[in-house]
Amino acid sequence: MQPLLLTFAAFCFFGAFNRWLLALGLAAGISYLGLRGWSLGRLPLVGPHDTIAFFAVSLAAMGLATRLSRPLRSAAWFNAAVGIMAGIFGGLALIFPVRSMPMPAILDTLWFELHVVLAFFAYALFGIGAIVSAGWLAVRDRSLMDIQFKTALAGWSFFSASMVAGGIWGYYAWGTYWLWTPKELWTSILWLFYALVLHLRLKGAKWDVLSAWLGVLGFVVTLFTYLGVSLLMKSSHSF
Amino acid sequence: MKRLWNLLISLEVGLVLLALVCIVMGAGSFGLSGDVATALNSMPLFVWLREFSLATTWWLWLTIVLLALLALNTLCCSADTVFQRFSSNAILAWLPPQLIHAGFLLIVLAHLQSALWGFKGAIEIPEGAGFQLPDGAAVQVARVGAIFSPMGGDRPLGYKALLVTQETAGQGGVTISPNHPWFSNGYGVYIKHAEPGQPPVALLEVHREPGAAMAMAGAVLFTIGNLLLLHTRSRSREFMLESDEA
Repeated sequence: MQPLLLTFAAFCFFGAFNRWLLALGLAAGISYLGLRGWSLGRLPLVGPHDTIAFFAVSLAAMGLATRLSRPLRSAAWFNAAVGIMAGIFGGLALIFPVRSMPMPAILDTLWFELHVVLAFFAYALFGIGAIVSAGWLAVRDRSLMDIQFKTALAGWSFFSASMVAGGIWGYYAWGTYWLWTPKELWTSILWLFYALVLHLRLKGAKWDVLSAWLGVLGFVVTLFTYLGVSLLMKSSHSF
Repeated sequence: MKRLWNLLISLEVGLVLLALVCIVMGAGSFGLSGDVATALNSMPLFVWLREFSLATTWWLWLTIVLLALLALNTLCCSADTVFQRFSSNAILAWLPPQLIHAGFLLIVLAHLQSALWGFKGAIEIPEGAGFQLPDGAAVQVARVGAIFSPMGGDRPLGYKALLVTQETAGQGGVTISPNHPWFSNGYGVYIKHAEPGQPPVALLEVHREPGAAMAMAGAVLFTIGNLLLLHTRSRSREFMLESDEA
């Protein structure tokens, strides 16, 4: 199965200039996740290898979906940036060992799967939003800020739904819908951060520069919430 | 009075408060480990805040103050919008953000309720022994066991226990396992761990989250508002039209 993930990463990274190669890469990535899920008998959402692979494929999928918007249809730079980003994370997943352990009973619930899947869709959209923000900072095309807002809103919506699913899971699994762990604090920080980004739009076009920089910074906060907390801080709520 | 109201409904104040909450929570997260973190998750928030010194708890006190101000700002902004636009026909334009605000406020209130009146307790109990819930209900732990993968393996995936109470005696008791606690009068009994032996010993936790129902109501309101907002904004083409005109 690993060659499929390698194909995904290679097609995304080296074929980033071409949307059809990116789409082929995405097909390889989805096939990898499907086969891995088939072999495990569940969604592959536990451990760094599976979650980073899922994140990389989500990035490619959300990038291709966002590319359908009119201002990005002919933007080769956007295609390239999405492909490179998805390729890097696909390659990163390959570094981590593939572990095929049975699902611990505490994670064996639909609420956990919903929580994680929705969170990764949100992370991917925040990544796409960062690319669009960086693009706006380079070319200053106002239509890009509209797309940045929509990716932030869609990502924030997925993230909110993920937090609701996580709260329900936590209530049945641990007896509380909220635990004071670094992971949950950073999850809240990320949610509040994007609430700030969305509200900033109400200030109008004069604040676009700050909005765009926050769009880029948002992905740094996203990566810290996802990877930084798990790797650098002691948290019972981790991969 | 007008100046105070303008301050309370100020978007700038809301933005600054959001940024400050992020910064303070971020700073606090780096000190959240070891015994301090364990204690924080084993008792309601306000009990923990009373038990530990300000040197440890300062960031959470500050977060609570900032969140209270943010909640006030949110409430005032929504009230102002509803008063000003209630009679307008474009209800889908202004209602979704207010539903999201209402959901957020309910979730903040739910956290406050659980932080003030919640209950968390843990007990190690051997098979065959009994204990009492805080409301006096007697619970007997009739059996303690482990859950193994159908594919084999010698490490258990989780643990289970058969609880017999006055309520459940007629059905032969109720089995609790991870994600399947037993609830009685607002208290939930959860199994966290078990140790084999003669007899086996279960580590149980008893929780009471009085804010859970309000948090769920807030989540439902929030989600409805969020879906409506996505629906209305996905149809917005304001900037595309602007760029076309340009």
